[in-house]
Amino acid sequence: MSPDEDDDQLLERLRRVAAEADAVPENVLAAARAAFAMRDTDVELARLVADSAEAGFEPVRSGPVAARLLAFDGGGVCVDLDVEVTAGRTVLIGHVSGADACVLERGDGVRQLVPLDELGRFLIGGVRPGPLRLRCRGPAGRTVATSWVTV
Amino acid sequence: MDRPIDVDSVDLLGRVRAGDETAWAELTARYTNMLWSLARGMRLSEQDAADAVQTTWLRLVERVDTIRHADRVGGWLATTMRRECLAAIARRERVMPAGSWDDLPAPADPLEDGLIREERDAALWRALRALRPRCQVLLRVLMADPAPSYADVALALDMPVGSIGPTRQRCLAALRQLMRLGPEPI
Repeated sequence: MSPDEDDDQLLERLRRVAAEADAVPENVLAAARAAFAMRDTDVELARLVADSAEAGFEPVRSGPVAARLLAFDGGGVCVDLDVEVTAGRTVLIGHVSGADACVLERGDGVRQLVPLDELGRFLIGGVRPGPLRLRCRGPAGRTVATSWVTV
Repeated sequence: MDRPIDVDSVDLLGRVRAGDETAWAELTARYTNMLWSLARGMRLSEQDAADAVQTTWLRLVERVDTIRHADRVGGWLATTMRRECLAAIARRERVMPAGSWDDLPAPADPLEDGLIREERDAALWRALRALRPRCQVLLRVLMADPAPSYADVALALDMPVGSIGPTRQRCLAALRQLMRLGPEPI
């Protein structure tokens, strides 16, 4: 037997053991399939234009609070989002311009209204970790969604 | 690049763009294992790995109409997933400033969970986890089912395609060596 065949066999054995020891959980496969339901061809994208988690930014840390600053821009809507994690609790603090109403949308499609004040500011506490985005009514009533971000 | 065009992927993505849910299911069946393996190879917790996989698929849904090379959707997924994993690691580091790692519970160990039935398989898994990180993540991704192309593996691990074969050989040799040594002496 050549060394290559040996390697192929060992890798095949590893594949089998991985399927036992660390298989993809069924809910992960289900979430992957379900993601297609989030497709919406009428939505304009507000892309991530700045992220303090990317290289080049000093981490913002005031005491025990870890903060991440994000900015999205597109479709006439700008969103500044500050993700703060304190003692395991996630709080979103943000500002929206160019939109008069927004919902927070989770990766599983669950939505909640974003309470915007007269200046377009908002604060949402007790946010479950995971992928989310803001979906807003932008100029001329068009729907604009930010790109997904995992908190 | 003069790689042959993956006609199958082009067709699949075309059907996805047309709104075919079966094609989407086929796409997720083909690549979710690779994405999961990459995340777990990079030592993400199950929860972080699950979030990163979901985010990667949501991003594909978001960009599916604008992806330029429909035949390289696997590479696009691998690249996106790698970024999500790095972001998850950075997120953990922000929340857990350096020095507080000792307080973390050890990640769930499948050996303790009793998921592996046969002792010789358990020994193999233990040896895999004793390899240096670079080898662990490469082998985890190569172990994905269905097996990913080397082009996708290269993007997942940010390494040249040409070095995958030789590195794979070295890592498997190191794994055999660890197996021969058996459990670490105490």
